[in-house]
Amino acid sequence: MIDPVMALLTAGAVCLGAFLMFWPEKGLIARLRWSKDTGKRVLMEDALKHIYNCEEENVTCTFHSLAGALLKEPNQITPIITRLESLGLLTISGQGFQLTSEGKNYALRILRVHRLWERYLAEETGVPETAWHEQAEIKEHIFTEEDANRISRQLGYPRYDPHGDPIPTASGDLPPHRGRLLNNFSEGDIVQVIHIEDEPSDVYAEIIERGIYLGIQIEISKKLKNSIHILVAGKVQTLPVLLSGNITVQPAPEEQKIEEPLQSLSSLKTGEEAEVAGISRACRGAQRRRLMDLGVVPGTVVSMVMTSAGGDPKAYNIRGAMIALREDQAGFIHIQPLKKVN
Amino acid sequence: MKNQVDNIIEKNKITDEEILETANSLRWDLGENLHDSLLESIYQDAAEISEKVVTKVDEKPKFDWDRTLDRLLTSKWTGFPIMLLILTIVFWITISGANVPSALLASFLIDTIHPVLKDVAAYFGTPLWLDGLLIDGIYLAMAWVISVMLPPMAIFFPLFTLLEDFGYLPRVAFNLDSLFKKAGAHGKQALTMAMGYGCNAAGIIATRVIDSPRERLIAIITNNFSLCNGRWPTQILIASLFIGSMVPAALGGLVSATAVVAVALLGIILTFVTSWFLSRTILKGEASTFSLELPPYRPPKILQTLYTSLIDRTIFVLWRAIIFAVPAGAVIWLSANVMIGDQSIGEHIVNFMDPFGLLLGLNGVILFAYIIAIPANEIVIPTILMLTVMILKASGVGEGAGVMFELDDYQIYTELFAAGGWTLLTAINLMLFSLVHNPCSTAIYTIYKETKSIKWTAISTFLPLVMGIAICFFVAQIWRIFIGAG
Repeated sequence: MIDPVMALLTAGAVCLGAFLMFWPEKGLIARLRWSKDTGKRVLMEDALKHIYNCEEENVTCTFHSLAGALLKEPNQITPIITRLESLGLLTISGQGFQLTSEGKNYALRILRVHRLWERYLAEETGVPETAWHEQAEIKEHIFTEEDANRISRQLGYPRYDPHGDPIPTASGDLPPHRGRLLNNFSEGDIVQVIHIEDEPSDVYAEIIERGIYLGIQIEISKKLKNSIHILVAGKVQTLPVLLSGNITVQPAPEEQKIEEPLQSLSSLKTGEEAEVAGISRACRGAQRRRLMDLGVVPGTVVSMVMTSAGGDPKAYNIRGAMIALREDQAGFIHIQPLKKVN
Repeated sequence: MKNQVDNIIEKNKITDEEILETANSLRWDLGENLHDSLLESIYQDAAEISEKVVTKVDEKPKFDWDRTLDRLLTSKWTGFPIMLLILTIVFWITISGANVPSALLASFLIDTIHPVLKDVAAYFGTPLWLDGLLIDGIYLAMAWVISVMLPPMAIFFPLFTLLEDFGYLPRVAFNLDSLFKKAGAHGKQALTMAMGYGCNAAGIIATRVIDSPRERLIAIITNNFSLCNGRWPTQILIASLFIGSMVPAALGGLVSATAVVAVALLGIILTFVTSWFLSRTILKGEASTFSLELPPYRPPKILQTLYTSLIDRTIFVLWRAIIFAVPAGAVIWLSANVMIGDQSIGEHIVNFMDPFGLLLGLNGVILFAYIIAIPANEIVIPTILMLTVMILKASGVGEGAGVMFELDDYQIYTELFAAGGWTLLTAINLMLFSLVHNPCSTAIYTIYKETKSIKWTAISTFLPLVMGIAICFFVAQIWRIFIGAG
């Protein structure tokens, strides 16, 4: 018989070993799969992306900005740039770099995969919002053009990613830039969010945390030096310029302006009735389709029937059927008081 | 029509490319709400049409039965007690009702038909090996599966379907959802778990009621922790033999029943823990949509329910189990009768596995029995008995090499297991391993049919197996450190 203490110690060591081997992203297996060659290609592709973004925003791209973006020393950048130049993807002139048309196409292909994958994660999976960008950063270097076309077809040829960025088409088309930054509007304007920058990720997470998402209406109530006071979903918030500088908006269409602050379905008490005003854009993909299939569309009259013994799901009468919805789901559904009909 | 379009295009000198280009550039401005707007307008049109053509009888019933029942069945104070009461009654009817037909079936198929078949085979001069393989191996495995499995399923499934038909089961899911939500699961998993107590394969099929992909996979993978009716007899036998016998005879029944219930409760705890773990790790990325319809109460259609639940659930599952039991019977018989040197294959394997089995607080016989009895948990105990007799070369017990059997006398069981080197630790670990090990091959096949994925089938198979080995291992080592060699 093996000594039990020895057996326990051995088992502990085996568990630790397996843990170090298979730990996702940091384990030995994961590290081995990310070979040196892939690492080089990833750096080159990231460099192309950075230069493309610089050109889009009309800033000169330098060794230093590139090194900053790739988290490398400036002198480590030189071989990457020379390699890109010898491949005919960019030209070096004076202060900075310019992409050739092949280089631009290459960069657009990467952007296409990145944004398509974010869209896929948003629509078809339960991956949390804050993890989309990070996962797309990895996939953009792995997927081929055919993969991208397949995902695009599966998603119904989407044109925008979940942050509002346009997805380049297979032929590399992009629409002209839309909207302006929230900071550029003045007090009293009612605007609609059309893009939220997903980098840096902690700023993005904070914007999401504050309940600001694509399509929501914002009323600018006050502009200060370092911050801006806004009215969003019936609540007043103070937005530091750091956050508002990452939000692109356009004036809200006249017919869609919402005057009254909306309430959510979860605020309804037993026996009360209300009319659906819409489903929050933060509710997407399968979850959103499910709710709409059940008949939760603007104009539907819903009433709260009962609460479960456990307290959480509540049963609502939706178009004659009794449907139980969890608190967080009901929170996505905006309601307004019934219009009085005599 | 086509000609007209062609004419317009001809007149205005628009080429196909130009049309596509215009369409493509317009798509940038369509916005994200396109699909929503389409759906909304469909609803609007449907509402307008129904307004015109459907006449509604506007009459409220004086007394709303549904709401009154709902108030009783889903209220904070009465909801849970009523649920426990109903489930207890269902289990009690199943257990007490299945005993008699199970015993009848067993005595008919095993004590009456089996000897008759043997006589017939002998009359025709069938070679011994063929007679053993077909009648002792294949026929007996099949007979065992049918007699243990059929009666409880034929009672449990119709009862369950009646509750479902009446509209009560969705209310159970409604009441328990907040509990399951904490584990990242769906309230309807309560129903598939309950179904799993009848048969895991049926429980896995029942997960079809969960329409959210993530929660459905969780329910499928964890269904194995519901002690199915093939495993209850093992638990009850081992608890009575080893745990009930430690206390005075008067308390024996109560203590062993408590031990079995404790194992079943451990299964429920493992279900929640594993669900929680899965929903936060490997299943994190799967899409999740919750919705639960609470249909109006309806008087159940009893005859129709009996028919459909017997055909759809009982016979379907039984047939699958029989198909898998046939090769198992053959393998069990062959392992005891094909000799290599002076020992049978079975003896070689048992001796080989013994050290590992002992390390886990089990033994080689139990491990080997769990491997060859993968097709059905019902034949685990008969296989263990047959293998133990074979290893001990005991005479006077059992029916001969490769023939599965059970005993009527607890005294002989105890003596046989004591001779096989069993201790209280072996018994406890066997009960634990019976709860936490790979699903039977019927369930594995059903998981594959339902998920259509080798990945999820493999995870459902190996996750509980690894957990079971780990649990037995740690219990054995800790037992040996604190209580002594066992």
